[in-house]
Amino acid sequence: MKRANFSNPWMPLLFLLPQLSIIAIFFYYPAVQAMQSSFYLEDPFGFGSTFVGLRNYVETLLSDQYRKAAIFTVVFTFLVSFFSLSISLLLAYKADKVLRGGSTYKTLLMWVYAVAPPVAGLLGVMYFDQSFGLFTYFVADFGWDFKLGVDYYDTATAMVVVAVWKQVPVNFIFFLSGLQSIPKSINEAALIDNNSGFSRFWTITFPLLAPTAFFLLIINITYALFDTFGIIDMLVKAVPANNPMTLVYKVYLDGFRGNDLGGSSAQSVLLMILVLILTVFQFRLIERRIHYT
Amino acid sequence: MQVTLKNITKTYGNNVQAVKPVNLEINQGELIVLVGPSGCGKSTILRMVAGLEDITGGELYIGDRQVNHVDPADRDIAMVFQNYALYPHMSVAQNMGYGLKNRGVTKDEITQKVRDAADILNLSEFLDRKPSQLSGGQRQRVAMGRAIVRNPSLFLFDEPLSNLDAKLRNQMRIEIKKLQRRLGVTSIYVTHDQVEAMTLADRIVVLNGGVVEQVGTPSEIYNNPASLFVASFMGSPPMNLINLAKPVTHKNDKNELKLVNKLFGSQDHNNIQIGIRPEKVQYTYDASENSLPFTIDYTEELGASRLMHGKIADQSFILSDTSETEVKSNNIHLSFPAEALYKFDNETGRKIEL
Repeated sequence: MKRANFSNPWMPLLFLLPQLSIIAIFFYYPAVQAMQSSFYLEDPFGFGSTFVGLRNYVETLLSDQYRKAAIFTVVFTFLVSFFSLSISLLLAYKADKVLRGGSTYKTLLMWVYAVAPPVAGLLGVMYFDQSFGLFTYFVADFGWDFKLGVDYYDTATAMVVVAVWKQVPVNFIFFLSGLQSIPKSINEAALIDNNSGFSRFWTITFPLLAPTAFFLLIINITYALFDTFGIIDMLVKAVPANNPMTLVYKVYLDGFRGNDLGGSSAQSVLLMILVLILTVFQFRLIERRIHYT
Repeated sequence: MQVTLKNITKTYGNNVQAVKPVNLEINQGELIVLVGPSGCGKSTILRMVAGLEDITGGELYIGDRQVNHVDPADRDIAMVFQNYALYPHMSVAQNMGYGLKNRGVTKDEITQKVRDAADILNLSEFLDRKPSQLSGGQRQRVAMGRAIVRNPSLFLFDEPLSNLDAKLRNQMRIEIKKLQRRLGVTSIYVTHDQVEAMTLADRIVVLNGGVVEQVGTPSEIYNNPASLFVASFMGSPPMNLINLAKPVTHKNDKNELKLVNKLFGSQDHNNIQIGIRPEKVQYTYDASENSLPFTIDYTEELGASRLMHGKIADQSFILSDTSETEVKSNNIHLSFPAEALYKFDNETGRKIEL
């Protein structure tokens, strides 16, 4: 790395200012506000607030609904990350080997990338809706009465499917470029050393893809935790009822639908802590086992 | 193990025939070098033998077994790649043991074999290192180690030395030759470097445009080239070739061409090229009956010899002189010993027996 020397000590600060101000305005300021309001009980009509100490936290952590949402979030994140990573890896591995018409496959697989999460959610509604969903009609023939927005597990299934479908192309692009960056001769050397394609994949290809996979794992966990908001909102149609929801969606629901700003703030502070722990854990523990060339 | 190629061909999807029918019998323990310019099909042949490329036509035998449709891992071969192709996430020992592990060899046996191979190649102290922590020459050795540790019946080398610097290349070339002699394993070696081919090979296969031009020992190839291509490709500096059919306009060139024609007595058949190795040309300061005047344009001093460049009938001509005394004049007279001359047919490119 080249070291730059500035004659004026304020120069570097000037260059950093745009980035720093964006972070300050859109991250630090709201974060501090959330922390502050998490200690207050807000009047539902916004006329005043009372300092309540840690009561919001205690109530949140003791609440049955919060625990339920937390468990669902963990399961949801795991399922979405697992399926979107493994499906895209399989597709990328196969697409990498296609010689004829390879670019057509790749373009088709990447198209979904351009779909925004709420639109993906809307497409999911079209597919899974109780009265006009294609999937609902299809499974009805097999005796499965699919009830989106009514049955807890049916809704959860739809959420996972749509969230995975939306994320597969992103992972696919990264995995494909990761596969293509493995030198051809290494694959050929492996071909001579090992006659089992399955074993070759796990002993050569996969370890060499590990940096990509690790990066994608973080991206996918973040995606499942935070970016699926639009999909969930479309699928539950803003009618929470008995429906499953993630912690992020609950923050929105309690704060802006339930008008409980204090409790909602406490929840978002808890989420911030969770993300912090997760990040430290990932980089400390997993990254050590990964080989970067 | 004996390796036999019977009418092996390779045609790519766009109907380009990269390898025209090749027939070759490689004897047990022999080191065969495939040499030719890029695009001559030498790597394609090697990759077909390895099983990395499908064989379009013909039959390939390793020993008595036809292996056209056998997986690369089941052909009992080992290959050394140009860029080494070491597995970056494995240590040197793991790299060398990987092929054994997949063949169900026990752990103790793998450790023993890897240690033996490392001893031979002076790699013992590097066994725990990753390839990224090694120098180019060491990586090359690991690639060799990965090949010999399995004790295969055929070694394949795909330009293994071209990523090394000149000094290391010479050293590794000698090591490869010694190792191959010691292990007595049949080997096919691909290179575009004719010096490498000459020094390593038991027999050389010269390829051009997917066609085998000549198969022979290094001295056969050098002293008895079968075609114009072999004559001009093998040898450094290359053989001098004078095309008697070359149209020249300059009066002086015309005269020279006439003179050459007369010297070689080739009036009967003009569409030929005359060849002579640079070191076989003799020179004098005085003209004689059978000599040709020659002007030295520039001289290359190589230490052991001296290359003098000039032109005969507007075609570049080199003579090599190993004597210690420098040439006193730039205008000399060349004479050509009859036994050192070659004649090639311009149309077929083949040699004409004198």
